[in-house]
Amino acid sequence: MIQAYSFLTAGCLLIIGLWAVIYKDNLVKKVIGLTFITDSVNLTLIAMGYNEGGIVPIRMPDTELGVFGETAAFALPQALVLTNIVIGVATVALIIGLCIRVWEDYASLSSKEVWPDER
Amino acid sequence: MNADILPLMVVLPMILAVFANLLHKKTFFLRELGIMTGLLMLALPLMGNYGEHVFGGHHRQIYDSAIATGIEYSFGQHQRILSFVLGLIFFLVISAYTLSHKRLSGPYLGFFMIGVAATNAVMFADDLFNFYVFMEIALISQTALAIATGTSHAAKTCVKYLIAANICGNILLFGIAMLLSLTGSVNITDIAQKIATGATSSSEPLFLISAGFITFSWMYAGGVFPFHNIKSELYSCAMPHASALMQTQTKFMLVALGIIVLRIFSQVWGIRHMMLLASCLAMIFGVIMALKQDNYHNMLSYHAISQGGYVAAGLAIGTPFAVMAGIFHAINHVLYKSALFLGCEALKMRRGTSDFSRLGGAIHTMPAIGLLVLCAKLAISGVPPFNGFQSKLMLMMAAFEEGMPEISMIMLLVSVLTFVSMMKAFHIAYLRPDEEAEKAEKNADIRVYAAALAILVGLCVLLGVFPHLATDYLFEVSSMASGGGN
Repeated sequence: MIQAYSFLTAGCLLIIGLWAVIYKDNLVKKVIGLTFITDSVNLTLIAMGYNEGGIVPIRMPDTELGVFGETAAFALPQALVLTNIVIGVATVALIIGLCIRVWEDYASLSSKEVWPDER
Repeated sequence: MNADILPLMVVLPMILAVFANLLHKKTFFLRELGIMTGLLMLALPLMGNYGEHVFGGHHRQIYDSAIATGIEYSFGQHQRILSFVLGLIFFLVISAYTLSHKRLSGPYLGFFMIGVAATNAVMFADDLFNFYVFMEIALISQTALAIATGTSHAAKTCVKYLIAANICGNILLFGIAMLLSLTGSVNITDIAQKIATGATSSSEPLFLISAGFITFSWMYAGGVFPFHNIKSELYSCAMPHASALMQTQTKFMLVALGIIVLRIFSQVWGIRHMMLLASCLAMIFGVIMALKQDNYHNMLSYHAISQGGYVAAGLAIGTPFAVMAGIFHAINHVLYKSALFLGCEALKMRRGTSDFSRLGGAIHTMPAIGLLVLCAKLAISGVPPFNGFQSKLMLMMAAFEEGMPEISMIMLLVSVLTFVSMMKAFHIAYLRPDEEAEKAEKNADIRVYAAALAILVGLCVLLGVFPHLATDYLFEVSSMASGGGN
């Protein structure tokens, strides 16, 4: 059930994020939408590795490999999410930095004003 | 399993990028560091042994999803030649930048190095997540190179590019997550084998959605339709020498992700049709947009997209011969297009602009560059004896053999339009008399550009006369990508 709710939440985050990126005029709001999309992917990955009643994927010396394999959460998605968080932060930081530059040059963060010929 | 030198092709430029950053504004040291890194990136692909490198000792466990796989790089024949060509373009671009500028920027040089490291990793990666991570790094490095021009146009173009990159990156990751949930692995070879042997059904809805998502990301990474405008705008924002490296990165990412799509999803109905449609539209829109441009640099940027369409079409046709022709065209294209971008920069350094309205008569003041640029223009137009002729002929033959004469016709038409566009640009920039522009010309030293162009045009002729020098390296991957082995 927790897994199903997680996927549902991820789906909602994705829709909200896409809506913000496509329909919001303000660049910062678009960036917030992007973070929603990234969170949605991360939640999907984490939910995939979830094991009902399972243990953390750290094998103690007294745990047998077979028991560990059956009960531990799938560790690979957790490693993927950790890396993806770092990439997401780097990308968002760069976009926000560029938004500051756009603000300095155009005195606006409205995408209609920054890209007048493309809307 | 003896490809021990393989990680160096990624790790070394990354470490040297940190040094470049620390040596900011120390021009002498940056020049030495840049050229040394360029030489290293040329030599390492030739020194490495074929094989696989598995990080941390986690060897691939086929059919055993209980044990997580580690990061794995593979180094085959096609990776050797692609990596060598990337190293060559990197070396020439870095040489042009460091030897022709009086003040060098450490971070700018560093992003060239990060870009080349990330592109190498994308080509070597045998696991999807490692591929994704380095693709994102490559895209960020491309953005950084464009931002470095410091114009407000570059800033707003990069915002748009990064927003699209973030969405497409997440879509790729969704596709990877779905494959992971189906196969329990992110290793490309494992996944391809599980699909080929039926251990994982290729008719699962999740698998089909994943195919769509990853193919969509391929379109973005390769700059084909509907992302042709975003990519070409980014190239236009950067300095021409940076554009040369950026378009090389894009072509090789297009090839690398295209091979992955073919290996995993070739059985999925509609995927190749989607790829073919995107590639044809990229060819057509790219060349039409190029014809409309009034700026030489912008025109070359759109041609880069149009030629990317040829590469994508070869991959989309999907037969071993077509895949080989597609990858061969990618190699050819990065050679002559880099020559054209470097020629454009030489012109820009002398004239201070690349607007057609302010160019003219350059053949009198820079005849050697003019002649070499003409050769590169003939190569991109598919005129013999240059390399573009060989790969375009192969692509058209592959389309004919597969019963797609209409694709061959599109390729031929686009080639004719490319010729028209290139000759128009050559006439305006070099042949059209313009005494005022000639008098106003600056006395910039462009000898390094002439040398770089001579090397690239020499290679264009060499591969045009002896195409087997490149195609011999591509049989293995073309057979694997078209379903002949995993």
